Amino acid sequence: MSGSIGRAGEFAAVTAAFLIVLNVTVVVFIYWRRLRLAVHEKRAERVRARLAPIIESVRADASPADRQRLRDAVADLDAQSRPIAAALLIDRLDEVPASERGAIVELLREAGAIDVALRSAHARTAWRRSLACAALGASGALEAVPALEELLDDHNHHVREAAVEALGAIGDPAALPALRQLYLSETAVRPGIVYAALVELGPAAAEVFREAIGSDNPRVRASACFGLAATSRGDVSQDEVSIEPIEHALKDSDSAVRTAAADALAAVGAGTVPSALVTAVTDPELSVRKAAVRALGAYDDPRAVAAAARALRDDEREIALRSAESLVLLARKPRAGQDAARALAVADGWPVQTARILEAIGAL
Amino acid sequence: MSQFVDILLLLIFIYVVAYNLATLTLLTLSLSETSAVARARRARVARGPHTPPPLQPSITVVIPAYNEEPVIVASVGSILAGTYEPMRVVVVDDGSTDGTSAALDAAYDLVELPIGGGFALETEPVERLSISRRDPRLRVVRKANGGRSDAVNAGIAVARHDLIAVTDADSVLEPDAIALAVAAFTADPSRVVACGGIVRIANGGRFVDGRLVEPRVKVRGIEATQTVEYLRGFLGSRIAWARLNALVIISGAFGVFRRDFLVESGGLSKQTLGEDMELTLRLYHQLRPAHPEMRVAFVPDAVCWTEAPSKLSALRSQRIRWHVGLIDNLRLHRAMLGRRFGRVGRIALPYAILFEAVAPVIGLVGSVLVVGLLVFGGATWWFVVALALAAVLLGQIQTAGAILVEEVGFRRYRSRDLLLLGLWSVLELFWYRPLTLLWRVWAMVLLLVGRRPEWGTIPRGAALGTGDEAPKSQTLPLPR
Repeated sequence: MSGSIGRAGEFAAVTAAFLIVLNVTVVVFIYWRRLRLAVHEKRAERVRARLAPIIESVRADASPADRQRLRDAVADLDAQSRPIAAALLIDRLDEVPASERGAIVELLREAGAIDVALRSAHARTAWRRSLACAALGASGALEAVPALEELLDDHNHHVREAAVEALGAIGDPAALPALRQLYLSETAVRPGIVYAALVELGPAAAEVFREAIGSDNPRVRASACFGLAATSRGDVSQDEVSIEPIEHALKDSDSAVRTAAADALAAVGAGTVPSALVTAVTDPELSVRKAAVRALGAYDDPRAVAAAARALRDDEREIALRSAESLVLLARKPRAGQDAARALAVADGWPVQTARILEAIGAL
Repeated sequence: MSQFVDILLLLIFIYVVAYNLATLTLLTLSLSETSAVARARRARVARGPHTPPPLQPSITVVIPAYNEEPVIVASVGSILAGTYEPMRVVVVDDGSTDGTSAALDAAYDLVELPIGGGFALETEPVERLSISRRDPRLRVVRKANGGRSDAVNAGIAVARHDLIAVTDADSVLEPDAIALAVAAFTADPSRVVACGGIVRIANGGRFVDGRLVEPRVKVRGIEATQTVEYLRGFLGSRIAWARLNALVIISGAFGVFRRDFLVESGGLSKQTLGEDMELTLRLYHQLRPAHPEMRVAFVPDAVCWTEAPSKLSALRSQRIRWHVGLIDNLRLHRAMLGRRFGRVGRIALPYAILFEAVAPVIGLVGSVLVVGLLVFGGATWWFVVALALAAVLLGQIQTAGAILVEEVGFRRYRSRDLLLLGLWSVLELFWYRPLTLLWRVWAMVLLLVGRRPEWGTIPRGAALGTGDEAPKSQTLPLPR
């Protein structure tokens, strides 16, 4: 036994020695890193102080002197100051009114800033590539689209996502084929990110969502319903075209798709309630019924009133509450208002009382 | 006899090596993930606040509250001040005997709503349902006392949104915590069913208007050591488990769930002491066979500050409950062991059984063996010293690794605090770890003799202040 104890003791001693070295290394690394970051931060502060007034002068009506200063500053940028300049520029571009955007991009282009960002999009480190994507996206420079499309195949998923977001921010329909492929394949980038970028492209992306609603993948079909709603809102001419596929999705075999379709119809809203939405109020799936009842409140149509009044008698608490809320919303509308007010007067149960209190305190 | 001791020593040695290899693997994974996220964040921060895409999921934050009068208004205020919309807050007053509801009424001007019926989950009777006139996003449910799980279930039943966030009244969410957690769902809506945020210890931190503006580490050992422990738990392992798609626990202090799954699965269990872990395991148990791609995400940037027990008696009660809860849950979901549940069944649960559930027994046997060898002349002092040193340093390397993850990814603490954490992580081996080991052994004894641990009391409220004035300490009779 003493032999094994001796061996265990020796092993423990060696382990202890190794761990002392490891621990000291970690502690030294942490404090060395803190020190390095402190030095770096001080330097960054100086760079920021130098660049901030120059970036601040990035305006559509910049004077020739300001333009020259910007050109000089861009020419002087080194590896350490580029990210700081990019961050300042992104913040500045956030404040710029849309009407001045074109002139500002032209100014940046003339100063060589867009070229610098395009070069940084091929930087060795992933975060620099991501930051370059963000800067290009904020600038809205159309010439960045091909470079950003290339980055959709980047090995780093953060870079791919940043490229997708930048393409969305630029909003050039030329990026649609690449984004369409990503959206339908649902692999290289998380689907919500591609969805958001497509929505940012506006009505131009509606075609992709229309195609996606016929996808084999129910997840893609469900998000396509929202996409169609989001890209058609506020555009009446688009609504007529977009509602039809969403209405069709209300008959989907997958209940998640039907729920998404009903929710999407709530977001679109219009005058005439789609027949499929009225039918969905009696769907066997609770989630579909809930979404459908809520959506009724967005349509100025007496048929929506009748369907909501029927749903008031549903045994499910949420259906009853949502239908009462929909009736209160419908009571405000010109065509459906009178019918809704009558339905509310007749059905004076707790769901209606709740909806009335919510209306009184401005919560509806 | 000597052969038996040899074999025992060898087994313990293998166990220790396996445990440390597993821990170091998790740490490495966490470090690599945090480092990637930190770099990505560096790029994202520059873009300013994230613009939510259209049709964001709606979320209801459920706050179960029992005798939380001193903190409830500040807690609700901090959540309502968050950046995410559309959001509602449902406070469930679980039969408080103090002025929890009255404090909310005074601060938020509550209006009574009809209670109605047909709640999606069964709970103790709801006595009053109200909405705030001042901020209609706030609803307050007053119900008969039924315990934390029952209160959360009542909140889920009243809520109507797509997502449910559960947090505690004595916890403070950072303003962007909800938005960050929801982003995990919107980025991958069809796979993510639940998401946890990081829980950090608030003790010692500086609060202004109910928000923690400067995290600090308490000098006192009990609180500082828990800070170390939470860093190890959340940064050293949960990030890695989430990356492996095998995270089996979402902390009760801050978790976000899809409401439809919560309702379908019957809400939080009232049968177990570890209801947060039980819920996560139940989600895997029910969903993973049909949906192997489902994910439980972890967002370390979504921060919830919570108060750690500052008294040993409260800590003891908490740790005994946690260990009983752990064993309860592993027993309840033992059928998940194996391939059918992916990495949860193949890696996470075996890890939880081997290195968490039975670890106290192994630790106790090992300690008794070493002391026995020393007393009966089987070992020399230098052997014991070398062994103790190796144990200290192994523990220390885990802590150093977790602090490294913190440093690379988050950098929340001052240099002075890091020193304190380092110091207490060395000292904890001589008092904190033996104590928690004994409490966990005691929890196993209680289970063996068929007794459930008593809930006891947790004094709280002192660490979460508003302004410079900390609220009065109060005693929480834990729910039945």
